[in-house]
Amino acid sequence: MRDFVVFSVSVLFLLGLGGLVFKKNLLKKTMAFSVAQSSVVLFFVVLGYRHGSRPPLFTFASEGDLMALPSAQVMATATLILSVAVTAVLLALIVLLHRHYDTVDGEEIRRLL
Amino acid sequence: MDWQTHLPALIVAFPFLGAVVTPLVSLAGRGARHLWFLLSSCGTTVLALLLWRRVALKGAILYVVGGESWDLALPAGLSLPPRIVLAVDALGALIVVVGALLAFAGTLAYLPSDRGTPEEERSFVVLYLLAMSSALAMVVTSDLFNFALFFGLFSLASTSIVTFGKKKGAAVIAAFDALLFSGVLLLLILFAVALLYGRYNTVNMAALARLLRFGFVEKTVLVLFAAALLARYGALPFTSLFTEFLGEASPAAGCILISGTLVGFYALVRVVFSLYGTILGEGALGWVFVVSGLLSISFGLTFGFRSRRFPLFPGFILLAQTGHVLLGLGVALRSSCHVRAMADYGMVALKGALSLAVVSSLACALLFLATAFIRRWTSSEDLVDVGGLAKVLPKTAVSFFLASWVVAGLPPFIGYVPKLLLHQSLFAFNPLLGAVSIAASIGAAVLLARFFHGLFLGPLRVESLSQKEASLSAVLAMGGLLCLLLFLSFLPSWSLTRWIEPSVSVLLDQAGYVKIVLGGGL
Repeated sequence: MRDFVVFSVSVLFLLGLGGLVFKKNLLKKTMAFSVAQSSVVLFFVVLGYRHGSRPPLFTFASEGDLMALPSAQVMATATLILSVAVTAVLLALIVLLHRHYDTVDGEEIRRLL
Repeated sequence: MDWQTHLPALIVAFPFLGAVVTPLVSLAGRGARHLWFLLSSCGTTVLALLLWRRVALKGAILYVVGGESWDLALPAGLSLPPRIVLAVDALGALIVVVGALLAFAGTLAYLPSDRGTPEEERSFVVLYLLAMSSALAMVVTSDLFNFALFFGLFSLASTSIVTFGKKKGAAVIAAFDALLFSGVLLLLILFAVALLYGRYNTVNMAALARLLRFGFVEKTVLVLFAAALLARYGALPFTSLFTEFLGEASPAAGCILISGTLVGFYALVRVVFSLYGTILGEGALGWVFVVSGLLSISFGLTFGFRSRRFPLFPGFILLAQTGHVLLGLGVALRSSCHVRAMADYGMVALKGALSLAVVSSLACALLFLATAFIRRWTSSEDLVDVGGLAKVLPKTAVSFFLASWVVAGLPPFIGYVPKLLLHQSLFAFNPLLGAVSIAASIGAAVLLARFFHGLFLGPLRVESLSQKEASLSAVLAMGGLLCLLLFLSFLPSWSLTRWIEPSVSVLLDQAGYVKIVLGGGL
C-alpha cells in the first residue's frame, strides 16, 4: 500500500515539475508549483497515517487507541504554510509583471525586456 | 548558568527578534529604524564572533531546543532525539562568522543607498534580518526538516529583497524565476526529508548518519540533496538564473545573496561528509562534482568574456570560483576511501576547497559592492558607457583592484593560498585536471583585468555621477571586507591553522559529529 502511495506522490510531483518546465504562462507555472508542493504535503500526511488511527489530539485519546503520528502532521502543516507563502509571493510578482507588460506569458515578457 | 551556552539559539533569535520588532521601531522614524537595523546586524555579528571563540576554546556546542537540559539530545530510554538540536562545530562556527560578516557589510552598504518610501524601507529591513536569521539557522541546525524550512524562508526573503523598490520588469522576472526555482529546490529537499523520515523515523542528521544504509531510497535522497544544494551553491544548472538575479540586486541585497551561496556550500559538504560520509565509498558523486565544477568554470568564464553588463560580472566570477571549489570537493570525495590518497592529496584538496569557498565569498562580495555602487552612481550597466572611473572613484577602484587580485589567486594576497592547495592536489589526482584548473585561473585573472580596465582605466566617459566618491557608509562596507581580506593575507598560516584545518578535521570525522549530537559514536 505504501509503495503505491509513494508511486502516486512521485507521479503527482513529476506532473507538477512537467508543468513548471513546459508551460509558458506564469500563472500556470505557479499552479504547477502548487501541484508539486501538494504532492510533498500528501507524502508527509501519508507517512503519519496509521490504519484505524485517531487524530493525534490529547482530548480524542482513550486507552488503547491508536493515533496518527503527530510529527509527520506537523511537518505537513509547516510545508503547507511555507508553500503558500512562496505561492503568494509568486502571485504578487505576476501582478507586478502584468502591470509592466500587460501579459503573463513568460516568453512574451522576456522578448519585451 | 553561563549565558554563552545559549549562543547557538541566540544567533538565530537575535536577528529574528530584530525583524519582528522593526515595524514597532519604525514608528519612531527613519533614524530610529536605521539605528535598530545597524544594532541588530552588528549584535548578530558580535554573537557570531563569540560563538566562534567559544567553539575554538571549548569545542563543539550542542543546544537542545525546549529540552530540560540544554545539552542532552537523547534522554534516557529513547533511541532517537525527540527535539530540534542545534549543533555548532568548528566548520559551522566558521561559516556563521563569515556569513554574519557578509550580512553586516550589506547592512552598512544599505544605510546610505537604498532609499524608498517608509513602508518599502521598513519591509526591506524586516526581510533583510529574516534572511540573515534564516541563513544562520541553516548552519546551526542539525535537523533536516528545520533546515528545509529555513531554506524556504531564506529564498522568500532574499527574493523579496531583490525586488525591493525595483521599477524595472527585468528585476521582477529575474526574481520570479529565482523564487520558482528556489521553490522547486525546496520541494526536492522536503521530498528527500520525507523519504528519510519514512525510512528511519527521524530527521536529525546525526541520528540518520548512525542509522543510514546505502540502499535505493538513500541513493535517491542523495541525488535529491545533491541537485538541490549544488543549485543553491550557484553551480550548474542555477548558473544563469543566479547571475542574472545577483546582477539585479542592490548593494545590500547582493551581500546576503552571496552569504546564502556560502551556506549552500556548507549544507552540501555537511550532507556529503557528515550525513553519508564513509558509506558513499568510491561512488560517482565525486565525478559529478568534478564535471559540475568544470562546467561551472567554463560557463562562468565564457559568459564573463561575452558579457558587457558589468553588474553581472561578480556573478560570473563567483561561478568560476564555485567550479574550482567543486573540483576540490570532487577530488577529496574520490580519495576519501584510500588512506594513502587522502593523505597525499585528498586532505589538501578539501582544505583548498573550503578556504577558497570562504575567501571567494568575501572577495566576490567586495567586487559586487563596487560594481553595484558604480551602477547606482553612473546609472549605467554597460562597460562601454563607463571608463576612467579611477579618477573620480579612487577608493572604489582600490577596493575593486585588491578584490580582483585576491580572486585571481596571485600572491601576496590570501587568494593564492587556496588556489595553490587546489592546483597541487588536482595535479596529484590527475595532471590534466590540474592543467585545466591552472588555465581557468589564468582565464579568470584576464577576465578581472578586462573589467578593471573597462571600468576604471582610460578616459572618463561618464558625463555625470550622482556622487563624487563613495559615501562614508559605502567606504565602511567595502573597507571592512577589504581589511578582513588583508588581515587574512598577512596571516595566511593563522587562517589555515585556526579556521580551515579544524573545519576540515570535523568534516572528515563523521563519528565525531554523531558523538557531539548524540553521544557515543557510529
